[in-house]
Amino acid sequence: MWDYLNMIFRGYVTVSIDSKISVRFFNICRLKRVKISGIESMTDSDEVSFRTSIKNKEMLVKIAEKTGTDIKLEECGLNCICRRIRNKLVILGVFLSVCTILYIQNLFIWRIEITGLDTTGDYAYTNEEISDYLATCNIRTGMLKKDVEKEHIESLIKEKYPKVIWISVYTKGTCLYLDMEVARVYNNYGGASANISDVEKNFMEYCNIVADRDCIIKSIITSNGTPVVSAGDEVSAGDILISGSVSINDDSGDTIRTKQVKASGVIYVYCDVDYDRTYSYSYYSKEPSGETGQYKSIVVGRLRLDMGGEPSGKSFEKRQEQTQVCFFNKMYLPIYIINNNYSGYNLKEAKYTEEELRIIADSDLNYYIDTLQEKGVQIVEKNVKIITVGETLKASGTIRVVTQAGVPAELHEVPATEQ
Amino acid sequence: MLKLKWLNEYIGIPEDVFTANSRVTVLSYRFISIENFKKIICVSEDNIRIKCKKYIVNITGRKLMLQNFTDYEIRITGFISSISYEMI
Repeated sequence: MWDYLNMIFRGYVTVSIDSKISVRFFNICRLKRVKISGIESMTDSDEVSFRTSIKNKEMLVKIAEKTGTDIKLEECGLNCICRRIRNKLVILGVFLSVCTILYIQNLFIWRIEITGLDTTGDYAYTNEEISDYLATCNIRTGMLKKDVEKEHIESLIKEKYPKVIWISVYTKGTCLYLDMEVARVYNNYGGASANISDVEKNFMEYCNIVADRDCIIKSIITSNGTPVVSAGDEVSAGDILISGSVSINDDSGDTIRTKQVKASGVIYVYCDVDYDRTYSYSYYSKEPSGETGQYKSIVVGRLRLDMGGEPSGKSFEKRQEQTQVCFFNKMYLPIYIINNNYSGYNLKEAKYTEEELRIIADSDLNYYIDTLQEKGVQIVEKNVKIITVGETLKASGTIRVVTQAGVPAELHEVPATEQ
Repeated sequence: MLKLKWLNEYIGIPEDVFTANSRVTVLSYRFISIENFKKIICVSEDNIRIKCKKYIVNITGRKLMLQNFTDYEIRITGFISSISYEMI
């Protein structure tokens, strides 16, 4: 049995010889201590076939030469099969290795995509900010997929960023997606704000509406509460505009009790926005030196392999395009291919003419005003002067705008009293 | 020779262990094994002759064939009808 297994694994030779000289052949084999098995007479020809270990192959050839007979050798067994399909085995091995690597890589998160962030509002969060925070909580690329606790991530984000009103965490392939919605409350000049639900949450029961800046009231429409100011009044930041206390009077006009309500209304105000910009006449211009080039870099985990580089000691503008290796649309791997393009430049000091600088200052001011108007602010008056002061051009002044104002403020709960 | 006989008779060690005598083992009528053979003299379907040290084993039958052999043992299968010994 052992001999048989040994022959199968190490390989064996099937030998065919002429039956006429088989006896002599066998006797020589015996003298040379060649083990022979499976001796069979071929029915269709005058030959005898037998098997022997592959290590006796050379010996059999010598014996055949000695006996002057033709010998047919056929290598068989596992060893020979492996040798025959060696190339195919290499391909199979590579294929299996790639499959194994892909499977192992698929167990990890290699990309975190955050979508739905509003970058224009007051509570704008950036992807980097949230990614950095998640990294401090050990939620980063390279973590195991099975360690992703979606509810935990949701609670972490909501705890840290209270203006995130909705979040959905899910994984696809090796990518972790965070879809979120942020409360859209615009800056001080964006009066057309809508979702201030988080702010209001704190004042669900009773609240006042107070001024959030120094301004002049343009109009006030109260839907709940008692208006404290009227159109034309000048108010400072923190002044109550609509009170959450409502007095209930009897027929004679006497106050019989005071009721606490959640003040609400629409208040438009005039306010002045300061504008101040300084421009220098002198500037540095970049003149292309004509030296350009590109090279690729491969980043695998923390390893970076640059296939080239910029000439040292010169100034270059560098542009990088990073592509993460991805299979099957969603299966990202921790391999990045970076395409680096660089172009050389020389710095040259130059000076604007007054006309050029005024055009720049004007376009900046117009851009600023357009941005305000996009946010729903109405421009009433523009008092910005552009003057030359020494070596600089100064654009300064105020822009009077009409905007919605008023924020909920705490109203100390006073139980309704009967008088 | 006396010593060998003594070992065989008194201690019970088989004679083929310490002599070069051949051992012929027959299993039913289908299999025969010969140890310590010298050479194959003739092989055919009806007759196989194997030379041992002191005699030639002559096997007759049908569909006789060598199964395998090593330098000290040969195995023969087939339908064995008779086994005879020719002293050299």
